[in-house]
Amino acid sequence: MVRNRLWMVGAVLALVASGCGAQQSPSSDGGGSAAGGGGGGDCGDLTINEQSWVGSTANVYVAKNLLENELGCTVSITKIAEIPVYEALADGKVDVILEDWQHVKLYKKYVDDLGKVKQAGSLGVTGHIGWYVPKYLVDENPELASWQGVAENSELFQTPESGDQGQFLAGDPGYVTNDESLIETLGLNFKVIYAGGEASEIAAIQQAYAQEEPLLFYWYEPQWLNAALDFEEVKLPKRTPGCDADPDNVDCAYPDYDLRKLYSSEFAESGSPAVEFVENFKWSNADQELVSKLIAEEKMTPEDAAAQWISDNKDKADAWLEGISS
Amino acid sequence: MSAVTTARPAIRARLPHLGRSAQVGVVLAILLVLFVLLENKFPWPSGLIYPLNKRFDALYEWIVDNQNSHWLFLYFFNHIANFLDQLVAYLNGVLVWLSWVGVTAAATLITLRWSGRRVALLVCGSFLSFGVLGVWEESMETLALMLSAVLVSLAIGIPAGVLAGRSDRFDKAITPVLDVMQIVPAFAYLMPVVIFFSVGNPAAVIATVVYAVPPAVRITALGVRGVARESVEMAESLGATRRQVLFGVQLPLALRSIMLGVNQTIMMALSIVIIASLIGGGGLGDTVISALSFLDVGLAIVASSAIVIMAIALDRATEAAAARMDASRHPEGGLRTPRFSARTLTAAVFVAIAAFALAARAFGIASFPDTVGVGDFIAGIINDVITWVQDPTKPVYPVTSWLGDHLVLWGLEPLRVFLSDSPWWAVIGSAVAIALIVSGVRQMIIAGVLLTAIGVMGVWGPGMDTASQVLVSTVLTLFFGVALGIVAAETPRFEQTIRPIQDALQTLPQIVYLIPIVALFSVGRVPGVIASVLYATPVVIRLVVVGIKEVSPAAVEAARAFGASRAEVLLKVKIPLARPAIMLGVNQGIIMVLAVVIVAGLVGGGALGYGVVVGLQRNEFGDGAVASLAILALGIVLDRVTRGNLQRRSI
Repeated sequence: MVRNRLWMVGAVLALVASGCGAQQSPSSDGGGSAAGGGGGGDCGDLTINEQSWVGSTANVYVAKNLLENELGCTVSITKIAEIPVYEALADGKVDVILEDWQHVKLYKKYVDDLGKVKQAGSLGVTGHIGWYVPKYLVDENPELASWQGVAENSELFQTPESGDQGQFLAGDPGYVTNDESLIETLGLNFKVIYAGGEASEIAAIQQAYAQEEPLLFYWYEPQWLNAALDFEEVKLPKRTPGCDADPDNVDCAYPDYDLRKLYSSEFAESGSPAVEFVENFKWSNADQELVSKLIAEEKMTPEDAAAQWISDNKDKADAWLEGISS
Repeated sequence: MSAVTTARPAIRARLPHLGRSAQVGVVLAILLVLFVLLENKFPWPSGLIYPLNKRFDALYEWIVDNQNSHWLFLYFFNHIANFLDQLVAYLNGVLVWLSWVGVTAAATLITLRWSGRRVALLVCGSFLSFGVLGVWEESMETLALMLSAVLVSLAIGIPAGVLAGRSDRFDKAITPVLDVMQIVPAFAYLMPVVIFFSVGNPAAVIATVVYAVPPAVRITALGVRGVARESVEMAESLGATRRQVLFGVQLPLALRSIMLGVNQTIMMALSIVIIASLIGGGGLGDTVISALSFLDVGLAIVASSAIVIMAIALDRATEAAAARMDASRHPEGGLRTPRFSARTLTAAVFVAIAAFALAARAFGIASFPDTVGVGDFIAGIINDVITWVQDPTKPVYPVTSWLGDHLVLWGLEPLRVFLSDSPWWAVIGSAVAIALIVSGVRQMIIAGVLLTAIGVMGVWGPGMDTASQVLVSTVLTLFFGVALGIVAAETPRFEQTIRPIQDALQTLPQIVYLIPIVALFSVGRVPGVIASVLYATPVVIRLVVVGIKEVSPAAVEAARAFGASRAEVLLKVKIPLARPAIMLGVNQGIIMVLAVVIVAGLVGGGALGYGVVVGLQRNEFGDGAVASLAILALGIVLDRVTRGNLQRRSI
């Protein structure tokens, strides 16, 4: 009884003592919304979401470095999954995402219908998705460079997990894929096994390479691993108009994706100099892969990798900042 | 349903003659015969499927369209979310203001005041280690999130627990709800939470609270009930009102239990930090997840070891505080401090904390000294070890890949085929029969209804796939858990050696070691099985040890007197007498295995876990919700079938 009251007295004392300080401290992550009021010049806080692949980390940390050092913003980073982040953009928990692989259905909902999210232009990076096999496999079996060759050799790719079918290694269930539909429409004897994420798919690919085993997998660029290992893309049937219109009946290669930047409408109208920076931010596949490789392969911290790229590419960084009054 | 009617009379007739395990064997034999005769003849009929996922999709559309206009969101969910957001931000602000000096001083002094010197030393070292490992800020974010979740959990759990302790009717009503909250893997309710509370700290707090409330309620209720009748009656006879009895007698006397409830609540909250970060929780979970996306398993392990350290420190501190409360009730405990009153001491503690914090600011050491490289150094070593282990030319990989392949070929795949290609009615029939044999009529009905529900929701195949993974994992868990448990119970030194390993395996987030496991066992169902065995085995070991140690010494003495050898005493006396505890281990083991097999949906485990992941990642809300419900149903079925005649599951 007495002790209970003492706890409270003590806690109140401590909270009062620290309360004034607490108010001045930067607000915690997740709650950071766009610069208040919309007065130009003052950058304020903004929140960028980092997605679960390294390329996205490269975007975010290069932008963060420049926003903080050149424009005096305070940048917080969240790591919300690819789809739920739209909800976060809509209610202002996240201000910006820098790399979106064109989720057309969500664009319709959040950009067109609800108007809470806006397009912030192209990231400049072209995304490409395809089916890949290791180069050592094609060196031995040149026909494996096309889908017909893969189709005839499905037994080469059998694993205990795929049984009497060939194994097709897919990535994160959240990524854009037509694989199951492609396999069905093209009549291939393959079973899709999801690695579940980029990291575990890379672990599986690296293990196959270490043993020079056959492997057929879903892969994409830009990706730092493409510079480290020799991949060979399997040719899928050419794209024809409308060939992937019906998601259950796709019989052609993936399109190239112009990766997009998105921001919340609230942020876009805040008048913060960060808005203009986000619109200007645009780089190439090669640039992004360079930074990704520093992070993933050379185990640099994202901050250091971003700083190194910026000091090596002053001209590009300056172009993004041009004309922004800070 | 015909299997129920054909199988049941046969079993009833044999009841007096056959032991329970023999009866279960008969049921399984019948199922096997039906499988051989009717393989693939009776898949779940499409006419019996109700498109629940479409309903959920429609609901989701409605919510997205209305969340800014409907009163339910404007005046209810949004307010809760805002309140939680501010609570987390405020606590975080307090921790930032205190700086590392103040926080460490606070943790140390508070444990010194209420838990004792040795624990205070441990806590001090633990908090300093967050800074040394280079994850101070992330640890504080996690701490703020966890403290908010614990405060909310206790604000709900303690009053509910007091009610449950005083009213039998309320207790009966709330018990099934708590069961459900504990059985559903946290992964399964992330989606609903995101829908109602959006992403971010509020969602993370809510997800944590759902998981952490049940132990708070249960232990508080147990504590209030445990207060001796005589104390209450004496107070009543002295004319105390109900309220006076509660606040003057029951609560103070139940304080120790309540403190243990706090302890369990903290543990639960810490164990879902990583999962919470998938919906915007931040803190250490974020560090772990991004380290994993760079394949930096070493860094991920360093960051998650901060979670483990925090768990162990807070566990020991609250445990010691609870033990002291017990001791201080008895004068002979000798904890009365004669010179200074408790009040003065407490005040002194808080003044000292403020002084430390102010001093740190004044001397400009508010940010932790840069211990460059300690964390990186450790991460580097871990990475080197992992690289070596994964190297296919080194001796580890050939063994693990052989084991993994054969686990699929001999265990997982045949069992999956057996469960999903047997006639569906025969599977339900056998589960119902086994539930009847092991656990009685009530549990049988529950098991039958829920198993049917899995089919009706249209996920019979994935459901049976998940069930096969859970069963294989459980068999492995029991094999290792019981074997190691027996060894540990017989050799105290072995038990002491494995205790920290057990602690670490229980609190270390599974996602962290899934990637090396993927490299060693290949993608698919095996990584999930291995991870779940690692997670669940410590609990089984613990329950087996407790069970064997509690076997009455008299029985053991008697057997010795008859000249039984040590092995005979163990096999013929101790293990049979410890059976209830071992059965509890089976039950708890299955539930814990289920929770992790689901997480393994992230690394190619497929089945229901994959459904939840897709729901979360690809915006297929309906499918995700149905998979979550099916997991819940499967969890309850497995729990009821194996529960036996246990009175109540332990915490």
